[in-house]
Amino acid sequence: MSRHSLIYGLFCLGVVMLSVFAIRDGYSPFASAGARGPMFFGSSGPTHK
Amino acid sequence: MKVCDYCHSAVLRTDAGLQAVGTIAEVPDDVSPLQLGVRGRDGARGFELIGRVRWRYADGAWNEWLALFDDGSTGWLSESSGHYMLLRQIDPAIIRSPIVEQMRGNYDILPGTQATIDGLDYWANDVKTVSCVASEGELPFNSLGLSARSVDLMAADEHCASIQKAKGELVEAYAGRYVTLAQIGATGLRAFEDWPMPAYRA
Amino acid sequence: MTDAVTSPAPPSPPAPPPSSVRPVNCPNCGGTVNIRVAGTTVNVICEHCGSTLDATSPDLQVIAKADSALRRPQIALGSRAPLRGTTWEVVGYMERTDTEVSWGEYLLFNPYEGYAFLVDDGRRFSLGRLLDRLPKSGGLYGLAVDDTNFSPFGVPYGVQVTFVVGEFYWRVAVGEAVRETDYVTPGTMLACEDGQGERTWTRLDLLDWGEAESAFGIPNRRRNYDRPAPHEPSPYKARLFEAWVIGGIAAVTLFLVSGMAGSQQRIASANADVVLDGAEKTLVIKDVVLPPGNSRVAIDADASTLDNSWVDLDYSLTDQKTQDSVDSYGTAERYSGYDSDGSWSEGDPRPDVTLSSIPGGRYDLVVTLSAHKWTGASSYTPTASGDFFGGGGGQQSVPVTVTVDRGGIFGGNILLGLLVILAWPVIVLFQHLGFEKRRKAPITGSDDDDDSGDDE
Repeated sequence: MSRHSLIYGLFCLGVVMLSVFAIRDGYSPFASAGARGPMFFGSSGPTHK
Repeated sequence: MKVCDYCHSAVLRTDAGLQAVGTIAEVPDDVSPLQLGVRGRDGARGFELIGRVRWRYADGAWNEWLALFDDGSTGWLSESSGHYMLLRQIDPAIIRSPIVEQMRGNYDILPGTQATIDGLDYWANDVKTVSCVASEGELPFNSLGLSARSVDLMAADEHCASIQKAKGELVEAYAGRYVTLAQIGATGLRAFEDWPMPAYRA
Repeated sequence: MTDAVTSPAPPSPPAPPPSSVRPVNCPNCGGTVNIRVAGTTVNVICEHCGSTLDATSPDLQVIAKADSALRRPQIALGSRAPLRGTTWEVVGYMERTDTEVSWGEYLLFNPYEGYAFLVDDGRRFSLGRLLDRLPKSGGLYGLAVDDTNFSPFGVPYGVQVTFVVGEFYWRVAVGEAVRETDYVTPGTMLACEDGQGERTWTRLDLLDWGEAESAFGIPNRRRNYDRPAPHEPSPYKARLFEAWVIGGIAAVTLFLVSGMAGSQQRIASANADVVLDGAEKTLVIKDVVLPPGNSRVAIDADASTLDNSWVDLDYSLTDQKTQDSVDSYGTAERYSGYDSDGSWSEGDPRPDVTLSSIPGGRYDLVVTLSAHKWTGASSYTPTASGDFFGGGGGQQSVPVTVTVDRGGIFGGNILLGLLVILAWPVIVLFQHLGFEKRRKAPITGSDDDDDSGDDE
């Protein structure tokens, strides 16, 4: 049944990747407030001139 | 004793010379892969099957084939329901078991009775009263009309033993192992039209 | 007449090898019965009329007549197929029962290999050979044969023959009974049968799904794991091992990744004194700087001296440029007193608030504080000195320290990640445990009766 395990492995990879993004973004669904649109693909937020 | 292949008269060689002792029933045509002339091997020693006795009991029958080893000694290859026991005669005195005495006294022997031979434990698994119904080839005894009690014993490995007492004769004992046709590298086996012959290496 | 010199007759061609099948006529019904193992077969049951004939008597004496309806086995007598490296021919078929379930057993024969049994429990097939050695004791209550350990399965039970057809090397008959004790190891069973003063040991190896069916050309059995055979290995075991390994690696990776996030750092702090039941106080912490990118922000309010009072805090983190704000609130509170169970205290005087994904920039944190006394203090008067209690007297104002940190990790995230990662291994664990429970359960019930004897 390694097909199941393969899918599970990809799933775990996805979870870990999501965690990495969340950590870089300081994101959490458990926070009291915040989360102005997660910016995953830019580690620099809105650039303030 | 030799059974004539053609007329099935049995000829016995005694100290007094050759003696015709009667006609032996022809061995029924059974589906056995063994036949006279089959060659095999016990370890390094080769042998050839030169005789056969067919023992019958109430609910079945089996064959015992006389094996003549290349060094002149003899043994028996007992064939029963597809199991083969390659046996050599041993002195019943070396068997530590109540079985030998029970055989001598014609007492019942229970399956499960223990015997120790050369430090190895055996247990009786088969007790039968048998009679010889047919023979062929050369045999070391006069098999005509023989009736006997036979006990087979099994061990925790491939070793096995057989203790027999024919009416009016002494208790005889044999010990050896269970073998497969592949393990003895049997050659010269009977061919059957609808079965491919296995090629065991001699 | 001249005397002809007769030349020696040419040697006759060698007789063709005999067929191993011997057709005979059933003395009861006249039908043709094939005897495939002449000499060893003892009882042969005519497939046309069901009579049991004595193969050891020259005229095939009828021993018994059929007493139940004839059935034709799913694999026909005379069928031949290779199994595990040997070609076998079906020479006999019988059905047996332990009064709860029934199963079929085919007697297989090969002239050079002897006999074997193909056991069909309706779901799985097993290939059985009689042992030529006796098991030793192994393990706690178990047995060992040639370095393989078997553990006892269930309790000894009675088995009876309910149907026979074909030929057998023993005096088989409907009603023949034995007492069976089973021992198992994954994939193999040791069946010990005691009956008629004789004991036999059979080693049964479970065949793969479809192995016997494709060999003998019958439809594959549908895979299901509702009623596992006693010696059936768990199909979830491999999956379980893989799931826990992958899950473990993922969990460790998750922790490592979280660790790299670093710990939270103090970036601003301020104090204020708030008058209990007095006016609202506004505290502004200016120039809270967050680095580029989004940050986790934690605002902590420390009002540890609270006693039977609370402080409402409203936070507004406002971007200096855009005046966008993120609002949240906290409550610092602490209540205590005596009641019939003794002293109690309640409330968190150091609440923290976390904000997620705050973009980089300069912010002002506007904190609005308002403190109140709690009037529901306990009615007990203490024996100790009075100013331990709230209620009348005591504090007038509460010092509050507000601190702002950035960075660190959200514990809730880690927990959520772990739960999500471990969900699958836990599911597979329950699948495996469920299978093993069903496998070990004593067999009851009628919905799994043997169905291998089809009426064609």
